[in-house]
Amino acid sequence: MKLILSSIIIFFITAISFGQVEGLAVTSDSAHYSSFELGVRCKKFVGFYWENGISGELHSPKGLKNKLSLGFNIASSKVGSGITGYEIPTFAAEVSLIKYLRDSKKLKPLFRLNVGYAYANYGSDKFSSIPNSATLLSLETGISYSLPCSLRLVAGGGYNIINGNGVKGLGTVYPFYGQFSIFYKLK
Amino acid sequence: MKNIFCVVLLLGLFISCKKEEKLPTIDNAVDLDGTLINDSSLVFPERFLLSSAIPSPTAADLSKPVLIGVHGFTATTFEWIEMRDYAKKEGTFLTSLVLLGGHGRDYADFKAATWANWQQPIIDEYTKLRALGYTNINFIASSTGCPLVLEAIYSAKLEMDVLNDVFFIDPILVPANKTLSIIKVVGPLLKFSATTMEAGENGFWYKYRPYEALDQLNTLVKKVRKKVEHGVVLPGKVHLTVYKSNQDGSADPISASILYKGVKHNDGSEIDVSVEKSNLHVFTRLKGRNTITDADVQLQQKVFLTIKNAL
Repeated sequence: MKLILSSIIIFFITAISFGQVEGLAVTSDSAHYSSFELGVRCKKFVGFYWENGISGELHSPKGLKNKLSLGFNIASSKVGSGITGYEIPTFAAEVSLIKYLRDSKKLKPLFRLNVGYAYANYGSDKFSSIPNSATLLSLETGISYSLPCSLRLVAGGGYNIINGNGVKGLGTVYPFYGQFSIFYKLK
Repeated sequence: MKNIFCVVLLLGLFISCKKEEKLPTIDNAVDLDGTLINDSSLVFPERFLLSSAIPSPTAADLSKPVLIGVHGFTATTFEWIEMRDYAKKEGTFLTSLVLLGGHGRDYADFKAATWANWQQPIIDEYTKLRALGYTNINFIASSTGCPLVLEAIYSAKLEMDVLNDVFFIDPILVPANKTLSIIKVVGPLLKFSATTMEAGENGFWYKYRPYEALDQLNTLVKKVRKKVEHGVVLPGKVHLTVYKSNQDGSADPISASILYKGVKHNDGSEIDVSVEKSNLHVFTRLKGRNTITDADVQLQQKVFLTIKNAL
């Protein structure tokens, strides 16, 4: 538990201090006006399933003193690896805090903390004694690139601090993953 | 300044390219990984392999069902000794315990073997027994033995006409330790991993796992899992029964769910799956463990009896 808390604290202190070292000027449009983006997120566990779904981000200068953005992800293997096969259907919902660096630039590094809930459907009551849900807690980093016409691309990778180990936790949650998202600015 | 930078860079490259093999500290007197201790089946194959024990079977021998025992990663024939002794006591079926390729020998052999090498003795013994005239051959496999047997079946590496029942105990399609998924990255840095064993297990399991062997394990379980997730129909009259501990620090219990969803019998029926309340990996093997409970013994005997009755 101490390790988890330390990791999160170090992760966000690093993210925020990077921003301060870079002397970020709040000059971009997104810094002055609230905006909401909705997009598609494709996530691949290293060595396991694709989990795809939707993702959203709220950027507001009022909230969190313009230091952090809020986000959410809803994903499932049903629209990933499980489209054609007999994979275990998995479902995940997360809320996120996101810190963007170089906020005024098109190309922006980002740090992200996700907290959420995951569920897996094993297909029968035979498996009722195996954990089928778990809390999600992950740290993510990546690069965001803003395109014309209100589109933005994000690519990165993350680490699930809580993952299944056969004795406890959800076995479908692997530690490392990569993700790619494309957002459209709605407002 | 530029020159100093170039020298440092070259030195760094030289050090990183230096091929210095990092080897585990093997105790030859205790560890199976050493060069002194081997699996007994290499010295006395007639005590383990049916094809060696009875090279010219009688009609009475051939009328009995045969159960081929296949052990798991790093293990030896020791894993199925209790089943062999049970079969001898009951007298209704014969057993043949196969030693996987690269196993039961030493660290260098284990490091050099591929998963296909591990599998070959399974195919060889089945083929020999079929050629000798046995008409009711069955498998019992544990852990990594399960994907090896399943791959041999769906890839038609075995003639199916005499294969009947297949029993999987704690099959691994998803490892409990998910770090295995990044073995290609961390393996070359770590070189090997060491496991802690209970006193009675020394000399029967490899203590050190070279990353090359872990990489082979990862390759095998991913390959078989993906195949199962695309659907496997068992050929002929092959009937699959899966037993899985609900808490297993080696093979994630979700492996059983993946098999349940993806594998079907030839008539389209579901395979039999039983999730057992146990925290042992390969709960049918109790010998060599420090602590076993009455519940562990009862579970082992229940499964042995069910298998005996099924054959």
